[in-house]
Amino acid sequence: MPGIQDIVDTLDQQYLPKPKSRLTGLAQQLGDLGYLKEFDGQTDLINESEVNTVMAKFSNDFKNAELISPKERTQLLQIYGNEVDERFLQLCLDVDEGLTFKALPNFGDQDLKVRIIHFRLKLLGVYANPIDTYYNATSYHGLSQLADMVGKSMLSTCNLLADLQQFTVKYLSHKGYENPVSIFKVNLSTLKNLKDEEGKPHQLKDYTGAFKRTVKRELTHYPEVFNELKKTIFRRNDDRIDMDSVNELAQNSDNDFVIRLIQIHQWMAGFYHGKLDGDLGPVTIQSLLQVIDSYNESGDDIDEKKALVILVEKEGIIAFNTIFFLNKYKVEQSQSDKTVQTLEAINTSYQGAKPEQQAAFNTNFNKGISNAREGKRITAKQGFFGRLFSGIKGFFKKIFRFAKRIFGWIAKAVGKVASFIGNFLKKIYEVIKEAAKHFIEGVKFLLGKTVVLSGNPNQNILTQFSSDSDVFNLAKNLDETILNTHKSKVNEKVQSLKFSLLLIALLFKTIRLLLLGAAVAWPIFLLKLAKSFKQLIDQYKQIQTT
Amino acid sequence: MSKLGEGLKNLADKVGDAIDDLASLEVTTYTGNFTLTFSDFKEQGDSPFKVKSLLDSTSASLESKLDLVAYSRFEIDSDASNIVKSNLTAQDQTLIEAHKAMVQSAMEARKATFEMITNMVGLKLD
Repeated sequence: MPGIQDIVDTLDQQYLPKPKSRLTGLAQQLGDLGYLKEFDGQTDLINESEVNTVMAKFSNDFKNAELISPKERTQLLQIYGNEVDERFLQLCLDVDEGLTFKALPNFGDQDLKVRIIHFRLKLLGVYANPIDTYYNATSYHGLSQLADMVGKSMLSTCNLLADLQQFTVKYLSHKGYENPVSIFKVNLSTLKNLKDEEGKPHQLKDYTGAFKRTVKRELTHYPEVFNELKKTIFRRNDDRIDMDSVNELAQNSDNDFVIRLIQIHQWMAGFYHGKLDGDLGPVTIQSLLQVIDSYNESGDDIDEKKALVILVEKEGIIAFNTIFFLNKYKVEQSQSDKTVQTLEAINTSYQGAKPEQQAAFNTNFNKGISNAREGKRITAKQGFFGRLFSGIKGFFKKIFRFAKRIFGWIAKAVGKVASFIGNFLKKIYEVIKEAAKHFIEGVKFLLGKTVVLSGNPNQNILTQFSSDSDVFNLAKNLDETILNTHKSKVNEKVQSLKFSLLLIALLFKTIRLLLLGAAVAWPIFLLKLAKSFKQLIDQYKQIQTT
Repeated sequence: MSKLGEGLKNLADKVGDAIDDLASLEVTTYTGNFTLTFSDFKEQGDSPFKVKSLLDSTSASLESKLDLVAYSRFEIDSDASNIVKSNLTAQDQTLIEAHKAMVQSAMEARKATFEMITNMVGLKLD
């Protein structure tokens, strides 16, 4: 069949991950869980055998920890095959659809569950000790701090951290409205040295009524909170501002936490690559400016004067409209999964675009996917190395509101959202690579080229599956041990095959009209493949919960 | 139509062909003192079609050295026929066990193919 193998070869050669990129991701994730020293971005220093050794240790820990049900384990094995351990690793670090626990660890416990909890606490900035240490008073204190923020038990809080959007909503309803504007004192030199995306000097705007009105709108149901702010800090004249209140607000211990939370949300949406530190330094201010810019790019009415302003210039006091962003996250959280709709929105934009725009999109899309495949990392201008965020659902919920603009951003290679687009394509690639593996496997089967082999040169068995010639076995000096291994491998292959064939079925439903029309472009095929994969994963998840 | 589009259309046709193959299922198990180079059979990380190419290219020399252990054929109307080598040795019993296990796997694979096709019902691209 002409052309079929070309597709498989192209997917195999251009879209399956390169070994080194896989190793880089693993090293960082294992570092995040304390199995390796924290990853510093020096990819050349990765020791492959060390990564493989600790990966085996992680695999063993995951098995012993029994963090997922046997049913879920089987399904993940069907989907991810011999790379399922990498998926388990992602699952442990997932703060979007992460793992939940039935009980907290006991003091002195030192297992994978403790590592996961420490990772989550560290992400939120309430734990500074090594991840791999035992569950101790510091762990307890960190979790207790977060429990106070959301008004939940420590166990509930720990489980809320598996879904940071949900955690944020709980924080907002419990404490967020008490502190709707974050006040910070920063160095005057920080204010003077701010730069925009193009490296040109950038000056924050002074406080005006626009900031006040925006805060008022967000506090519609909390008039008493707004009235308090009005009496103290919302004054046109600097001299009339109640400096005692300002200083009190600037010392509010929740400020760092809220900024860190917003940083995390920006990181989840692909807009933040700086350190997650809760410190309002130049990197954070610029990232806040960037996210404000992105909101405006996507049609929201929030410019800088409504979100981040200088309150008292001579004192270096700035005000950040925290409540605006927290309310945005609340709206995002309430939405259903938007992954499929986002991919479809890009496809719709593509179909309606002019040929030259489509060509530009194809070029830039392929370039971005190629970067993701090679493991090229997005590093902030200040030199910080971005932590991986493995969530899919949360990411797409966050970006759906500007989904219609993504096609144009990619086609035009818009500089101000370049890092977001890099992140977006990286996220898409995470889905594409898994989908491509299954597509190849399904096609191999349909072409009669699925082979499983077990044993050694002297004792072995080979089984070839095909839809044409059914099953062919070839054995040499077979014994029980090799047979049992083989049965297990064949079973794994067949289970995985079920997923692959269903993926192909879904894909063809999706691309049917495309095939009847004009030429199919690779980016659109890949987006359709990713969409089908996500839909199938969702179907599997539904089976899991029924 | 683009090369990609043509390939996908051919693949859709191939899926259509699979419907015909579902009518029967055959499992064949051979043993013998064949001399295929084991290192060529790396399943993972290899070119996807390498193993099949290897088998195709060496099938002529293989056939003379292979002994049929068991053959099973199942029709869609539940008719089944089995051929099993006579005078089974202890070693052959393991092969029969392997054959039985692969029959089960073959049936599961056929079921998976059937599910794929039922999910694509109505798809015919001409």
